[in-house]
Amino acid sequence: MTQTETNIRLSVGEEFCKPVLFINKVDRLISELKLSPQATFEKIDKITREINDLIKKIRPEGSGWGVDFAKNSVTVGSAKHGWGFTYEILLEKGLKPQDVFAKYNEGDIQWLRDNLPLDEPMLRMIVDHLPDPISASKYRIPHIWGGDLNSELGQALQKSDPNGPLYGMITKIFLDPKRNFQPTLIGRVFSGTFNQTDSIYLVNSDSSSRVKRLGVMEITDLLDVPKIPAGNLFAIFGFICPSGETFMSTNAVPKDREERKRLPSFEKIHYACKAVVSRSIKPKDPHEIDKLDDVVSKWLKADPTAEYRRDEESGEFILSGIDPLQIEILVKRINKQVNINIGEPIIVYREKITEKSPIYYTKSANSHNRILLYIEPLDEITEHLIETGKVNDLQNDKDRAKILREEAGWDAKEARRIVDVYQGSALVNGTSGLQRFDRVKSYLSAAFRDWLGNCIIAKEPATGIKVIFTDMTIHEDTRHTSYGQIAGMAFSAMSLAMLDANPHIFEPVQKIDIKSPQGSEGSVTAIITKRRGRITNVVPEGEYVRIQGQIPAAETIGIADDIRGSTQGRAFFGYEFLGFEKVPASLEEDLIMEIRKRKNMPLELPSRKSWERFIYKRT
Amino acid sequence: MVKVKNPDEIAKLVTSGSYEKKRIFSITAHIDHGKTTATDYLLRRAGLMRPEDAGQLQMTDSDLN
Repeated sequence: MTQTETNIRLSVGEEFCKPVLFINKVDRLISELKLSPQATFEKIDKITREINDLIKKIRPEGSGWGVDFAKNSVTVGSAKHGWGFTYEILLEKGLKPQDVFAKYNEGDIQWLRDNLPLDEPMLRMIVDHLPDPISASKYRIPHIWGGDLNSELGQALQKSDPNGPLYGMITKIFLDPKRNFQPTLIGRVFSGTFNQTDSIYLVNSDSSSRVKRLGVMEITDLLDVPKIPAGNLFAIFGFICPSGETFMSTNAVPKDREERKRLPSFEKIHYACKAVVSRSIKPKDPHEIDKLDDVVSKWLKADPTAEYRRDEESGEFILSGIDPLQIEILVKRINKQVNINIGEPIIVYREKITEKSPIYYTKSANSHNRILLYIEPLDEITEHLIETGKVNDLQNDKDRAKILREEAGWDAKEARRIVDVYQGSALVNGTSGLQRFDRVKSYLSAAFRDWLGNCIIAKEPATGIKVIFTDMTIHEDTRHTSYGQIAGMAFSAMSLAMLDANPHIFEPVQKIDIKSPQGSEGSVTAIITKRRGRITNVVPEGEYVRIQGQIPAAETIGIADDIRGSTQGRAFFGYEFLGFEKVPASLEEDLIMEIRKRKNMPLELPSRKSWERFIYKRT
Repeated sequence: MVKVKNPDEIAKLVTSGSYEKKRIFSITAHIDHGKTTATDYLLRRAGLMRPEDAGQLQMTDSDLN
């Protein structure tokens, strides 16, 4: 239930969408597992209870949301065979659940399809239990929108007012394979009326776009509709932007850039965009490199949980994401448009520190600039705030400081002295004021980012690091303060500090949840423990045994085949990213050398001698 | 539910000021648990496919295979 649980958490808990439940694949309980009617009802009861326990934990306060078969907000059925019912449908038809079992015994699936068609209970649940757009806006807007609720716009949004200022969100990018993967943007108008002739302004991208066609989607086709009032979905052609983007009318956009930056937007869906696995892709025809760039960036706008970068040295694209399967699907889709060579999946590790370093004092290569700094582990809350983008580099210092103070307990003064945040790490100005700092600030940020991006143990990304500089000397002549000079001194100070901060390699770990037929749990458990996995829970569930635990992502490659093999394909298998854990000491050095070898780095652990010459010695 | 394949009917529904019967919903589930298959039946109800095709056609499957 791992992924189901995440989906419910996101939609009910974060988006405040009221749930109804369809329990699918009930045909398998009946004809494959041969459960008795009684056992099937118990199973359905248990699923409903579990879903409700979760909903209760995350639903909006006072909403009373939950699902209940007796109240017709649960459908039981089989989409494969096309039947389903709610309680009231059974009553109306004078049928009993046992009748379904009888029809399976007789092998008469057509009867079920004809007499209990699945669309009926689904449609009834949607109409009878889900809110209309106006009722939903009332409680959803205060939760999902970041602006002033008492403003004209805030009031219009809460009423879903078609006469209010135009405002809405692009919720999905659809790349249509039948239209040469042209993007169709799907969104929702939350206030005002969207007209075909409108030019819209994208709040987070800070750019305006013209709409070529406006309408609604009918599966994959756009049906033109000249105006879309608040409370409706729409589809447009004409441009592309990342999904989750907020839009408004270009006419209402302030001229001043600073003012534009303060425009309210919908709460970003906080994807923790963590690279856990990556694959390299390269066009078979080198001339298609720009086309590939185009194609990849389009797919990533449709799926913002993955990312890519171009590796200048090898001319490859590195595509990375949180889920090996997701990357596999993306790569397949891209391959349909551009012929590519695809590399093996590679696990992305993290370099982290576990202690505070001593202070290091270094100089630039030309000896004209100096920096004094130390590093320490960043607390986990702040790391998370940065990784999810809730704390970011584009915020003004005051807003950022407020979040850090309130949510992560930062000291008010220090929180306002953040120079940059990147990759779950922060750069803090610990001086009481510096001459000429503005001149090198962007260089220092760039150096901080470069260093984190390819850190010192094995050029893997470093996260959770707080860099605090306590003094800096900057030469007055700009010829002596180039990026190379500033980066050189910063790199060496941070690297030396890192060596003394007990650095280690951390690996991504997946949570796994397996339902395995009774009797096979022993071999499944063995497969997991053999691969450095840990079992946390083994519970019998009827014919099945549920096995929960965790396993390093590096060990999951090929595991699905092994489990399938030892359960005759009868196991259900779910996994999800859990977090990063320190690589066991006995494996760490070999792993470092393996990564270094793959990256053509010297096969040795990093040492002081690489940076010692930058140490500043008072004379 | 409005029968689709009738653009004027749809435009009328979208632009009408009446919201009581309007629903914006989404279907979410674990991969391979039947989202696309179940959606077929709603499309059938809207007149977009032959009754016997529902569950087979996977009309909202966005991958060309």
